[in-house]
Amino acid sequence: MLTKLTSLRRALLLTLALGAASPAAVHAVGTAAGTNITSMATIDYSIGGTATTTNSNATTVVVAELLNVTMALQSPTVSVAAGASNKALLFLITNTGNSLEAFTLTGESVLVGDNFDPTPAAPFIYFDSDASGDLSPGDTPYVAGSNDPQLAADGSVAVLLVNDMPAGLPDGEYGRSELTATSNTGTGTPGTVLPGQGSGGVDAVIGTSGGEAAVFGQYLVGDILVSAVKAQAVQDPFGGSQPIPGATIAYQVVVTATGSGAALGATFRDPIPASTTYVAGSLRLNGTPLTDSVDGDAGSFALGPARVAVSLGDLTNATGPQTIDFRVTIN
Amino acid sequence: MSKSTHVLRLAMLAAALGGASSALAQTADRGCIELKTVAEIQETYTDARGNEATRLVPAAKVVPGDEVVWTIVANNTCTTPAGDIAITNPVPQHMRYVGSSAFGPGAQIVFSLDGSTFAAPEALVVAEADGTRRPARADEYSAIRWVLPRPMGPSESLMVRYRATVL
Repeated sequence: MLTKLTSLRRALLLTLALGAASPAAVHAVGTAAGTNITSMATIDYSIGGTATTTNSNATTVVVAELLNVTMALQSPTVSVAAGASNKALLFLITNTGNSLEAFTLTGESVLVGDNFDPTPAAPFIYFDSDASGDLSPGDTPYVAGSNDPQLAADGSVAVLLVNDMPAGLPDGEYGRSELTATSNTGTGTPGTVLPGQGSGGVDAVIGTSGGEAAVFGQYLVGDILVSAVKAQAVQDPFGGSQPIPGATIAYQVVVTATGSGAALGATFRDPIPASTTYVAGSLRLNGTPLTDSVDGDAGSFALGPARVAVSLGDLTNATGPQTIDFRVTIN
Repeated sequence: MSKSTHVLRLAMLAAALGGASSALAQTADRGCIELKTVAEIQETYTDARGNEATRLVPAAKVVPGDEVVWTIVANNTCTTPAGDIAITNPVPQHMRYVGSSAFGPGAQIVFSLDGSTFAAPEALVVAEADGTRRPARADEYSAIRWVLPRPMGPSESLMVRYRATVL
């Protein structure tokens, strides 16, 4: 038996496994709450030359619910005019725990470190139900205790914090507003155990986030107006300018910022008209070709629905007109 | 003692001759070694002098990211020495082995990627999709084996240990 084991080991000195056969799959967030992790060892031995195999007891540990949440500000600083109403900041809340969890949302606009306090709109907090990234009629107001977001492990929700701006603010002033998401099961010092309060009655353990996340966004006052003027030229396959199938429409859009202050992180987005098809590679900014993919340059083309987008950066009066060109063909 | 050893030898002889009597073979298998698996986690506490210290406490509950210390204790309950000892432990589901954590006094430690073939870490190789080969990472091990190069004496206990992280 001894010789057999030894020779077996020699034969296995070089073991090859395929990369695909790697062990347990990696979870995005973590093993689900309530999972039993069981281990059992085996011992091989021989007594008087007779081989025997014995198993150990199976020992199980239960995975508790981990309470963790992160939040990220999605909107850059929002340019506003003094006295403007319903200006939204966009946040993304993600449940980084390992079980379904509900969160309570609160907003706060009286913060230190800024020049003025925005005035919370009523309602103050909305879900970005239509995923537009801004406040729109399809968005559902949040009501604490009534429609607290229930997020699966690794699930996320986009939330808008909506403020009005006081009148008479000078250009260049910043105002902050903060969103907080709090785990409904509990918050506290990381590592605190909440016995039996997790999903399915398992213990809940407060994670590194303390069970809550808070992030602020900010508004910048400027009396700036961004306008876009669009022109089009049709060229049909027969050398004319008839809008018939096969004809090409060349669009030119000129974006201009006028006034004081800055329009921060301005992005030009234009849907491709129905019954037309975007001409690949036709996007240009100030005459410079832009690639269609989302990459190092400012432009991109995306489907579902089809649209072109160009990041224009911070626009001020001094920036001057920005000219965007692209072409479509009529189907 | 000498008589039972003699019987065992006879049993082995019968097995070697190919005419193994199962009754005799079972006589030899008395389940001499008891094996126990324990799950613990390392806890930091403040001792009587006010210093920070660590201790192992039962792993009643764990959360993703926690490190569990698995200890396997073997105890030879017989009055006969046991040889050819190998303790094998698959890395539990939902866990990942912590590199260099396997420990076993006097034992040769080998690892497996597929759970059935074992080798020393330097001999474990993974083939990537593009055909290149690289050394296996510790987090890819699916089982650990401790091979004891000496017999375990009567009433002797031995302990082996490793750590694994909850995914």
